[in-house]
Amino acid sequence: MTLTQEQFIQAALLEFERPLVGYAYGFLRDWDRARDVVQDTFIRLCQQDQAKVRDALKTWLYTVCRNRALDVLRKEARMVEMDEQKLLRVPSEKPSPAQAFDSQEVRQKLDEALERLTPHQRDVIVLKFQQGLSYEEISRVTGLSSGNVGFLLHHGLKRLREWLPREWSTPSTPL
Amino acid sequence: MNAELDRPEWTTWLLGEASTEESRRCQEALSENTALRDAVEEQRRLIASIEKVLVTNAPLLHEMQRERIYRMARSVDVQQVPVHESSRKKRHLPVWWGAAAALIVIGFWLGLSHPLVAPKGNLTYEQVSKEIALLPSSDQGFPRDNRNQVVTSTAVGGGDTLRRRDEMWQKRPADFLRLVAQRVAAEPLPNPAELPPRQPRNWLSAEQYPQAHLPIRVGQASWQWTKRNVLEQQQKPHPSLVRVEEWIQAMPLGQGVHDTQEGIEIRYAWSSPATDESVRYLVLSMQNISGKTQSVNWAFIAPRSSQYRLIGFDSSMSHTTQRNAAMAAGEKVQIMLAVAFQKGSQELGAISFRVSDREFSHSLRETSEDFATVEYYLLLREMAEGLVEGKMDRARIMKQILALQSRVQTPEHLEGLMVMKRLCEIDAAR
Repeated sequence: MTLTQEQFIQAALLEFERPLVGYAYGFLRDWDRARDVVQDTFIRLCQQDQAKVRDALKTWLYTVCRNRALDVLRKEARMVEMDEQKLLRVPSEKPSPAQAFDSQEVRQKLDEALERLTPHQRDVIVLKFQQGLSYEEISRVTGLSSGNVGFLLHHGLKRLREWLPREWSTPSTPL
Repeated sequence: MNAELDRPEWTTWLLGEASTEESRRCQEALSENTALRDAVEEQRRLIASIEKVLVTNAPLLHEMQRERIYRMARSVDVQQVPVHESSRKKRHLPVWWGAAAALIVIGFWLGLSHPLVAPKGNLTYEQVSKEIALLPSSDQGFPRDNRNQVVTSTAVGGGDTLRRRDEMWQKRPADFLRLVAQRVAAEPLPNPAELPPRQPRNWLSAEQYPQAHLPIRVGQASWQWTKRNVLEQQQKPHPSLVRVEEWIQAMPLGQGVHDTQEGIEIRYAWSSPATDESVRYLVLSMQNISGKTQSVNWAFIAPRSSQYRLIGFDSSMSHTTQRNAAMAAGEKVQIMLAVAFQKGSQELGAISFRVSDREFSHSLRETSEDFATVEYYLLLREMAEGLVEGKMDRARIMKQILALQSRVQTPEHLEGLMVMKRLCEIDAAR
């Protein structure tokens, strides 16, 4: 069945809008910028030929979203000297309503641990455990080989296990 | 950590990515080693904890952002009107054909007699729009003046949007003209005898019918048929093809006042014709901007002591669902009513709507509306009724067309005037 582009986008939004915002947030640590990146991603999707992206939609979206988020980070790195503007963009200490849904303390611990990982390790862990992508999908999104994905996941997990409190891996976990 | 577990294969196995052979080896190792089993369990719990914490409660996009995405998608849809494959193969049209077709349409558009246009039209037979299709429409719930009956289907559906055209007109006028060419292309016109009968739209008393449930599924093909008859076949449409209500598609009103609840946006605008202060035209529009399909019902609560009638409707998109109350994301429906007030009445009635089992109502108050638009619509109605009845006051209509020509502001209005002008010319030639 051929969908109109609007129907196609509607279905894609329904399935991937929230996960992608969460994914972009992992890079940008700011919900508004994450939303902007996801909006850009879907606008790019609108311009694609459905037939070409339909079968690999998930990896297409994550790849574009990831690249856009990295572009934003790179651009901001170049603007680092613009202290005043940068200050304006620093997320408020006060959690947003969406963040308030999380168990903040626990999440903060994990975020801090993730920050200490290498970018590749962090990337594959988020794609695997937050977004539920397979090794093959992660490989397509990141451009890493499937074997490398497994290696990075394994060592990333090993380091998280060292850094996170023991209760994260015991039956009495308070999570 | 168990030293044995310090191999990537275990993580691969734990995450369900191991091959059958690898899985077998892992399970064998586990069955022989209790300490390893415990270590694997710990690793499993760590993964579960990370997954649980990472499950994001990420917010959705802002409605404005989502709407921007849908607008982009719709603009792509407009550019991709289906092309009739078999015809294309047979004819092998040269590249310059598109430009030539657009020029021809511009000729029609401007109401000129162009030498490249054959007497019978013969426009773009290759670019066949599939948008004109006989779809069930329903305005069930909207009362008729003979009691205990509801108006049944009035006609037909097609699929284009005012919004899309607005956007295209602004950004890509050349594409817009091409789209007009596609719209008047050669899909067979429906057989008038097969169409459902036209329904009378008599005045309803608010005392008898204080509330009118408004339709969500409505048709809109009639205006397209009229344009095809006029532009392509150079003839007046058969009276049965003229569904006056559907000509509202050719006359977008302004945005008016709005209220948004649960992702459903309601807008309305009132306006009065210059000739009759006791009658006002009310345009109600409802659009699903929530980004998901919503179950919606809506109704007009008539002002006391008034009379009202349904005079027009329009739908923004081809319907993806037949469920009457279900509105697809982005879908918009527009209803136009005429309301006759008693002199001195201050009441304008209300709109009530139900979304996801929550009810809302919005009192209507006076708004100003582009006066030329109202005059334009009255002219459209007069023209349509003239076609149905087989008699037109050509001189009067032409005079109004000329008077309005410099005042209308949208491509739809201009297009409508050009079609009406051509109709007058055809009528005069006979």
